[in-house]
Amino acid sequence: MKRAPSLALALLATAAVAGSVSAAPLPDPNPAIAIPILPPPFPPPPPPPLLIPVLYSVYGVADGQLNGLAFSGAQFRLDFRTYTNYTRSVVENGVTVYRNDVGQAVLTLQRGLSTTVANIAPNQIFVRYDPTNGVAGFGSYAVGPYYPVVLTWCTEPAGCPPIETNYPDSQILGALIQLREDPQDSMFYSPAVSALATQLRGPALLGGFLYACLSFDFTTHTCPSIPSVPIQTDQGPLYFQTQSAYGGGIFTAIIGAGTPW
Amino acid sequence: MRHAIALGFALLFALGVCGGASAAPVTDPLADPTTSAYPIPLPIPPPPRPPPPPLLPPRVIYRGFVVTDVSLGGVWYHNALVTMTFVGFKSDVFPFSQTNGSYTGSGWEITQGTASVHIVSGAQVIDAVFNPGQIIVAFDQNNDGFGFGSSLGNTTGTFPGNGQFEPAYPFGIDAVFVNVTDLVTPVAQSGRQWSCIGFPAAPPLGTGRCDDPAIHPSLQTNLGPFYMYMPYFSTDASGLIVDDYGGALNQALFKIDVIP
Repeated sequence: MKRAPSLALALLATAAVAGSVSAAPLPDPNPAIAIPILPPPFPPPPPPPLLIPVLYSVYGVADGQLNGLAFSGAQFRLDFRTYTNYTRSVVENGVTVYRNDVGQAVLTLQRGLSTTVANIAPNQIFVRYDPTNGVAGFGSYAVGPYYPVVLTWCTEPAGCPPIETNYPDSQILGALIQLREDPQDSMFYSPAVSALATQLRGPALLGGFLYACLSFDFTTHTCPSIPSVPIQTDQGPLYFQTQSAYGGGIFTAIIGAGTPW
Repeated sequence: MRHAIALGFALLFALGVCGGASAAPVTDPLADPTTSAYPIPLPIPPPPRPPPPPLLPPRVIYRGFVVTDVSLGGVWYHNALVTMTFVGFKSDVFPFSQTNGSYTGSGWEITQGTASVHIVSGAQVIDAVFNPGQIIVAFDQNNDGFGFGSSLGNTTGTFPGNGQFEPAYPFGIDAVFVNVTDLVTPVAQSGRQWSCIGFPAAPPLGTGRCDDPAIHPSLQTNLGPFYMYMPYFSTDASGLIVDDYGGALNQALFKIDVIP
């Protein structure tokens, strides 16, 4: 029994010696030729953070104008290439949203068999996901968080009512809100749905109603006006002006440097 | 010899008329100008122009896009970018009408054509072509559904052959408002992905579930068997799909283009 306290004291003594290693130079076991090993004059700089590439995209069908030419019912893909390191959580209007403001955006627009690729000038749009209100997509500094294009669970991103629970919603964005508010709603969804919860720092798949308009008029079901400031691209000024509600869209985040555009 | 020189000038002239395919005549690299029997370089005549391709009848291209799980050649891809394409002649689009119990579908279909799938998963890009007679494109006006149906297990090369018809597998789509009017008018349309064996799924016509594709004959491609899954759907509290429209959660895109 006496050995146990002795062993503990010995271990403590060893730990004390080991703990002092970083505080003082190592003593040389042969004092006759002792050369103290000195710490480097300055601590080495920390390694740079590993940059993780990510491609955020929204796919859908929209109306609008590019370089003065109207397009209608055109399939599009709006890409935003950046790094997850720049994706941050911020509080906006009392709720946490995930956004990334540093990236390169490209619009691919398919009008019939013709494809136009427009590089969007920097510092105009950002990626944003609001999991509390179920809005994901691209906002712009000139207009706001819902333009040029976002996906929502209720068709009107600025005016969605509080979502109810205890029934299945018809959109992934709505399902994820319900699962946040009442995890028991998982009974209404296939198991893979809950795995789609995201903070935009990893792979993501979201879906919802597509909103690509400055201010949609739900009485006439039209998008009557365009912003005073267009989105500038190398193919000319760009406006979205979708003239119908209830169309759907896809939001993805794909991690990796080799992701094809 | 004069004939050779005359032919050479004639060919040079012809090249000039044709737009000067090259800045200088092409010479025979084996000919030594000091010993050659030819006093001037002999131009190599251009190959005869190929005959113009025969005029094809108007073609129609159908593309469906979705992010979902697929398996190709025994390799599983999670949330891959999947584009299905079907190319056929416009003249092969025909009306159809079919009744199964109280369920009637009618609209347009095309069963003759070439179907392929394009998969992007991370940095991997895979293209595969389906064996003939397995995939069709249909637009069911009666039920607001459209997309890619199939004849599972068909080995005859002609649709439907000896296969099992599935209207919403591998890739059916439905939408709130359908802009597709037929299968020969260009349009782009969004909707919800159904990759469901056993559609319609909702009771009483269906069992409330879509079958696991792995227990059915696979679709065959040049890269092996292909399976497409529907991982995201809603149910009632007992786990049954009760809505053949809103039951599918995942958004998809469908596009029709016509080459005149």
